[in-house]
Amino acid sequence: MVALLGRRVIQRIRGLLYAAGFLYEVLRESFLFVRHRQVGYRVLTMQILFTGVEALSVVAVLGLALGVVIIIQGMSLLPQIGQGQLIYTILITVITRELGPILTAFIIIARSGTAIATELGSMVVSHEIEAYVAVGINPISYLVAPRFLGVTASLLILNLYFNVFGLVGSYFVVQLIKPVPFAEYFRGLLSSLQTADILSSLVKSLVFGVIVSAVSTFNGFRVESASTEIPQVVIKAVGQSFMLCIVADAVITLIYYMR
Amino acid sequence: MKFKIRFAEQIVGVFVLVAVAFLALVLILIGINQRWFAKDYHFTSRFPSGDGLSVGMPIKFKGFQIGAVDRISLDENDLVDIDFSVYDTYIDKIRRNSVLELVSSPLGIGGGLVFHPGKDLGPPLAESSFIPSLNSAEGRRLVQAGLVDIPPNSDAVTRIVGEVDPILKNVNATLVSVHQLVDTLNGGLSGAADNPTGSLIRNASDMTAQINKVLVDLQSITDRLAAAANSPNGPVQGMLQPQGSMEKILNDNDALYDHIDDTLANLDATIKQLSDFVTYLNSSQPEITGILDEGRETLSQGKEVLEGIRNNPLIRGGIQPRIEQPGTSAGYRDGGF
Repeated sequence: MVALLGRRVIQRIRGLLYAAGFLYEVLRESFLFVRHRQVGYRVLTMQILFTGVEALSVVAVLGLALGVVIIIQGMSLLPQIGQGQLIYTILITVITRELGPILTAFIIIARSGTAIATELGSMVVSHEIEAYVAVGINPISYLVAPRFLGVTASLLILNLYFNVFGLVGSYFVVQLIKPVPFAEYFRGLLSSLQTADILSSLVKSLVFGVIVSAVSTFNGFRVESASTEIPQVVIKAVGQSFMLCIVADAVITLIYYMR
Repeated sequence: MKFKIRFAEQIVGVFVLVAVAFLALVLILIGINQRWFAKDYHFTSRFPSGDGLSVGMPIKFKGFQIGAVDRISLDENDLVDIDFSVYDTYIDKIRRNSVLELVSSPLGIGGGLVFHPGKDLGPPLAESSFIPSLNSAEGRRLVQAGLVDIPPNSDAVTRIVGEVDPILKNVNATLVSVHQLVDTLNGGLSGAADNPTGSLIRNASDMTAQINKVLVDLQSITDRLAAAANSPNGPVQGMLQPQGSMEKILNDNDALYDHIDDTLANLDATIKQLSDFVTYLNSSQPEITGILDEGRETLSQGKEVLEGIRNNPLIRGGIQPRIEQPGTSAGYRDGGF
């Protein structure tokens, strides 16, 4: 019993150390990737295209809907208690600081995290990784680094678009239902928006991007030989990504309020 | 190759550039809105207590925010030093003999830092100058000397009273209106007013007076009738007397009755004759109706004949007038005498 527990703890620690080593290697290769502008640049472009551009429509709809709901509910309820100006603070808090980064991360996990884990798992099963190593190509440098950078950059940019649609786009949609003066709305929004909010949002996106890309690629490489392992690692990648993103979100929010 | 794959770099470039441009725009707008690029002028002041003071607290002048508190600290003399900044757009208001007032409301509303400019119309104070607070000795001296442009009702209670005053005035005006309305109603009901209610009341009063007058006349007529009926020389008594008309009518040996009876008999005979005539007319009515129908039919046929003649193409030109040819030989009988 004790031996079993000890073995499991040792395995877990080894797994964590391995993951830490993998993350270090990915960060190092990504840094080198940016410096050397390797042949994987095309892979990076395609990764941003698939992860960022193709997810834009989903992010836009989600941001618009969320913004419209908050504005309509806020404009209806808050003036009744004499706190109409709070709508801008609520918009910034919900869209920019909290739900923008986390919802974008969830969309990326569902779309690209699963795709990356599946793709890398399939490459392992079909011995493509071994082929890369055999011809002297570092798979982390060629396969992981562009995906890591692409997913992280896409999440960062998609978060900005989420804010554009959530804060600006929703205003124009709300005009069709409940007109709000343009100058008043944007003046209130800019008065409530602080650089710390933007920084918090960007840091969250960056961290979530690192988590999603690292977890997906890491789990993709965990496939050993059978194609049946692929769905298993994909499920693990999604679960771990969700969990780590939520934990990281809580930590960053805590740091934001402790400053 | 698909369009998206072929132009992947351009699409990604636009995707990134738009996001970066939005971020830059938002940062610039925040900077403008939060005065990152505007110059603020810094001044200092001193208060006996830090109660009610906070960093970032707005400094207001006539309801406008002209600056904010940057720093609060307790000095070695146990007084509270504050550093505050004034926006460049309002720097010309910071004149000599200006004071700062910490307004704290006993009701918990309407507090804040209020700036009162000095009456000196010279150039603005230099940056980092000291502006005394109103409850310091220097501030009180400036106010007592009349050097500060300070409104008379700047304390919170006075302001609240000032806000209540218009409400009381409104209530007073409403009560005056109600009073006037009651007066108007009273005037109208008493008929003294010139409004429609007054004239209605007046008309009703006049009508009542006229009815009273008519009733009085009626009473006098009734009295006269009663007097006439009871008078011994009146027509009624005359008719009822032994030598009156009634006596004559009743005691004329049925002459009047017989005359009426004869008249009625004659009238009965006349009515009978009239009834016979009407019966005859009724019995003759079908014949008369038939004659009239035949006459109408004849006229209709004649009309049709005339219409046929008019429409006949052979004689459409009409009938030539006949010219009488005189005889060549005249008879004996044609000769004149």
